[in-house]
Amino acid sequence: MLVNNSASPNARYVTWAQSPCSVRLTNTSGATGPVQVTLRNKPPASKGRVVFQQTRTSARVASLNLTLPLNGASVTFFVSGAFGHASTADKDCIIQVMRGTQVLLEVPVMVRIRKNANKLTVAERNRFIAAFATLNNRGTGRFTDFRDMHTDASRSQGHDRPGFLPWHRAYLLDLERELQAIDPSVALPYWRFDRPAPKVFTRDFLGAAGPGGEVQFSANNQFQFWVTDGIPGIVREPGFDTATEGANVLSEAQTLALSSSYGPFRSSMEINPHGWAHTSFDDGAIISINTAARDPLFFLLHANVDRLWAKWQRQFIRFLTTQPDTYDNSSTRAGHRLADTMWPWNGITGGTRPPTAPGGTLAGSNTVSAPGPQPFVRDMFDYQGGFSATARLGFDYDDVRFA
Amino acid sequence: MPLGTCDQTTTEQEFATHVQCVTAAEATEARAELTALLRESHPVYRERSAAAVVRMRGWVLLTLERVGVTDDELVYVLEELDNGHDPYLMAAAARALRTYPTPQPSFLPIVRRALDTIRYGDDEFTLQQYSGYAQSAQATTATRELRATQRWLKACTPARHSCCESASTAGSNADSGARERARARHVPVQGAFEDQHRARVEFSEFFRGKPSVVVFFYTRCDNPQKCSLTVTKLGRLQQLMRDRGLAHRIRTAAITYDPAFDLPHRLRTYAQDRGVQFEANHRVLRATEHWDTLCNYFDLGVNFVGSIVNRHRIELFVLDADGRIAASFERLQWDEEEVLAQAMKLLPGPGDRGGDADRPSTGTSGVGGSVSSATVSTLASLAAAFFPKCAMCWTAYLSVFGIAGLERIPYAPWLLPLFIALMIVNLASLWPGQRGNVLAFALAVAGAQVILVLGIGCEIPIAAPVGLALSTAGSFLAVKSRLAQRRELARQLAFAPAGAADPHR
Amino acid sequence: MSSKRARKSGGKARTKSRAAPARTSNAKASTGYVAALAATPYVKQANELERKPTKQSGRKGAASRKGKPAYGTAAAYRQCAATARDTSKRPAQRISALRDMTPGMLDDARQFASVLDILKNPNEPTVVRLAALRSLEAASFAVNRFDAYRNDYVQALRSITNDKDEEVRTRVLGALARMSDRPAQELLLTGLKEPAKALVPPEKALQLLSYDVHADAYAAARDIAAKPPTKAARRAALRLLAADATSAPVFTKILKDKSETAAIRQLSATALHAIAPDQLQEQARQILLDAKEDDQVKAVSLTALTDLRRADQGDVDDRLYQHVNRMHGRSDSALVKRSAKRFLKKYKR
Repeated sequence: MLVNNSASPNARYVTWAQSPCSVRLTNTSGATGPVQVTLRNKPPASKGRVVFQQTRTSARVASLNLTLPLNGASVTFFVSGAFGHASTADKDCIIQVMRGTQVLLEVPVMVRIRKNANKLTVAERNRFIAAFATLNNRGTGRFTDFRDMHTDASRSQGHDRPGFLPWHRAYLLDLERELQAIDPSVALPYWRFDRPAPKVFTRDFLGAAGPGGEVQFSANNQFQFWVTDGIPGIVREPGFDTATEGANVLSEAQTLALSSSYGPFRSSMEINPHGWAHTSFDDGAIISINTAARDPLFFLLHANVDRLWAKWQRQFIRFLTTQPDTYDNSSTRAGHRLADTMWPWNGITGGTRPPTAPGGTLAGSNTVSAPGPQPFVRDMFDYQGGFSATARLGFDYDDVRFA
Repeated sequence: MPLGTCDQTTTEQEFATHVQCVTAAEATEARAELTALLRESHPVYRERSAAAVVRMRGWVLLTLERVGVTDDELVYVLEELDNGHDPYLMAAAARALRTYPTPQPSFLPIVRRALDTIRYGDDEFTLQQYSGYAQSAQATTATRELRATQRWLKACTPARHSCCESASTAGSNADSGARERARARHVPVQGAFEDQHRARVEFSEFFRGKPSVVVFFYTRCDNPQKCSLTVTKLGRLQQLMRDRGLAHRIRTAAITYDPAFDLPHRLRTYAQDRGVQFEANHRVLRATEHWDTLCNYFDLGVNFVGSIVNRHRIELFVLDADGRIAASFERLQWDEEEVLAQAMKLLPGPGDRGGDADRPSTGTSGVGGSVSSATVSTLASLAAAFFPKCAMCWTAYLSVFGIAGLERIPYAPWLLPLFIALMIVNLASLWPGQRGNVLAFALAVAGAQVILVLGIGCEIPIAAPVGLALSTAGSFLAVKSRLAQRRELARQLAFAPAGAADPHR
Repeated sequence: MSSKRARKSGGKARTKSRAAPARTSNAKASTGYVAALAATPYVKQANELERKPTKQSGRKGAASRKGKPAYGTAAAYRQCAATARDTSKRPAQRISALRDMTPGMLDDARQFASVLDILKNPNEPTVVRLAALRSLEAASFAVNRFDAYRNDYVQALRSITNDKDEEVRTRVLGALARMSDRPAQELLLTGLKEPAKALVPPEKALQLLSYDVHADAYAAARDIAAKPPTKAARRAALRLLAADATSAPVFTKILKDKSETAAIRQLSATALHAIAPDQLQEQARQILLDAKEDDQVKAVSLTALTDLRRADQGDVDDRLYQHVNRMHGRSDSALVKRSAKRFLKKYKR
């Protein structure tokens, strides 16, 4: 069986979107004609569960019957995570290929989804921390690129123009893929900033504010070795009670109601809730553009911003860039038009671009081919591949359905 | 207090006062001292904070505005606009530039670049007083000053010929073009580095044998137009070299100003993230000892407070195959093609052993060879010593034998001066220079003196054969020494990658 | 692409819908767009759109509450600005207004100026002033529109660095320090050298100076680390010195010193990890072999050896492994057990 059109175990990660798969007979001994098989989730029900579709528009079913020809030709089908049933461990969902009661094949997959950071299991949280701390590697790992991508020198590349949302989506995707290169079971969680997050701002996760704002970690939390700009540790002092309050920002419902058109939606939400989420802290690097990327929370904050965009897209079906309200293509600035590539992945420097382009091209993926090493702005919209199967970017949010 | 006596103990107030006292009518010496204050390595900036350095340099630039910028100072002014990022210095530089007597259109792109750089980082100053962050009605901003300079430049219309003629010194390539440096500088014999993979390498090991391009940087530089861009461009230069098949013939190195902090893992990540590739001939280095020697050798434009750099310039050096500085690109952004062209000038010519580059010199087989091969070598040396190798040697031998056997030749008064002249030619051919054998030359000189003074002057019979023996010994030693050098060179080349050419041919 | 899909699935071939200018979309979705949806997994949404067109796009905001302009409109921003300025309103109302007016004030210089005035006014309640600061900081993310106001903003912040309210001073200095503002850095350094002139406690000053490695705070940090006025100041000084490569011996000494608190020793381990990683590995090993060591410090050492050891440093030695194995079995500390388990798993024999 191929998952995501690949036989590699590294490709066996699915989201809510449709992963193209195929299955074929390799051992036909004893068979005299086409073989009827059934694809299903191996019982007992695990955390991660998938659904099957014969075609992209057919109904999603918990088990799928297929007829496999004797000549070994492949039969294609689609697998998606069953909405609401994301995995909690690597490859905890097993697809069984049954012939009657006989198990012909078992293929472990993971329904890998970006989740609310406050709802992660301990194991999920620890895997994320381990991968992120490894990426930081005392301030000298690949994380330095992500830190260098978000400074004063590069602020115009992704802020206060239409490209704000696509640029940050590409930025997060690049980071997430780097984390997955370390641990493929990791997906970037999001900080739901309009709700209390008592499990996030703790010593075992993103740190609890200590005296003077320096964040405290437990002794076996690898974030204790976090270093950026040569300085160890993180300063972050919330201006609200993180255990019982959300930040003082627009709620999700208010955000989604800002406008059904991208232009006003983006320009408003960039200030509130995005800007206000940043500044809901009394002190800390996360407050300013130039220093925000020093704090790992920054990436969870932006994951939520991206999730809000994804939810807005889903609400108004804004995935097709030819549809006028999907994007505001009126900018004259390079990097903010649909047909533009984005810095730093395009390697273009000088002029209106920053003087250097740290980190090279955007990381690849074992599960999808999009958006490619030098993504265009237009590549960031159909992230679930609803319109074009090859546009799928390989991530989904736990509360944003596919179709 | 004369400006020349300012040092790290001078307070900022004293400094400001003395700089301010310089007027347009100042003698050349005072003016030169003012210009010297623009050099990063000036002792007055030692152990100053970065902020203090900004204030002090800014004040010097503002003084230049008063007294007028000359050609000597132009590059410092342009540098601030080309790759600076501090608004105070940019404002001061923009004002100073407006006093330059022959403005060039080539300044315009630099000013435009400065406007782009400062766009999100401008500030307000009162430039009439030292450290002018104070509020006053006369406040200005870097953007305002740069725009004024832009208008001034557009309004000036220099004659075309003078524009082109002075472009090499006053345009965007002012001093950024290769500056030929005297090669007589003594090469540091000490200097050890650790590279990005923790391998140890000596200065003489890495920077001899091939031309090199060396840049300086540090990972904590907060000016993206300087170190980050320098290392990025080094990566591009490497790519250019690879495209032209030169990557094995020219070395590149990026050396950190901050060896204590820039440990190998930092060097590796920083350079890799900017497209630099690592090979035996291409490394990122930190000095593990003799940093001061290195600093002095390159006359680096950098200063420190503690171990932290407080200010540095852009600097790139092209070294010849002996590790001597052949050219430098300082202060302004350098162009990869120009740098490569400079380095290529130092490569051996086309008639050399490029075709044999894949095979090491045959001389390598003689190094540490067997006794029999040493005997053959010695006899060969003797034969070479006795058999003239070239026309000049032939005449040299004639001179020795002629003078030694002069009494047997029928009287010819013109022969003696001729033979003396030829003897002098012989001695000149044995001149040791930097790498020759001094003993060989000394023996030849002794032999000549014995022949001339004792043989001809004092008519001592034994002087002639003794003098002949001494001269011959000297000649033999010189040949042997040169053969040994060739063998050593070939040994070095044997460790070089395939394609290496003999730089000494 | 969409028309290709339509043909494949047997649907009617349609021309590709033309991209319309962003601001002139129609209330009813175009036929082409619905057809494109119908050929995709969004077929359900396509049917819904055909039954119920979307609301007119371009109109901002959530449904307005009775009598109030819809959020996000110019009228709403004006109303918020008026509420924010109105000192008779409750602070909570004014804070809410300051939040809601943030996008609008970027397009209205007077509104922006009014927020600056609130921030600068020492007679305003502190919470309202700090909300004004938050609003300005949030607005600064709109880099282009904020550009026109940046200078006024910075001058306003500088003018209140000596505000009588300590919280305002601290927050304002924080905003300036994150911009690596030189005058602010000078004030903080002066306060460290001359405590009578300090605007914030020394630990806060050091923390703010750590945003800029070129702020030249190392000398002051060394002095405070040697003679700390408070424990918090010492900690802040040590944190800053972790970027000073010459301070490795200081941290090695602290890490070895059992009389130091576990928290400070943990900080020292972090610092060594950044500036002298080989030292940390060696010290971590020594700490684990010492049975009398603090559990928290042991856990830190285990984490260092498990997660931060370079590949070229190779495996841990057998003696250490066996020792940790015994520790895992005997320790009462859940923290140590967890860390030891990870260590043993990584270096499994």
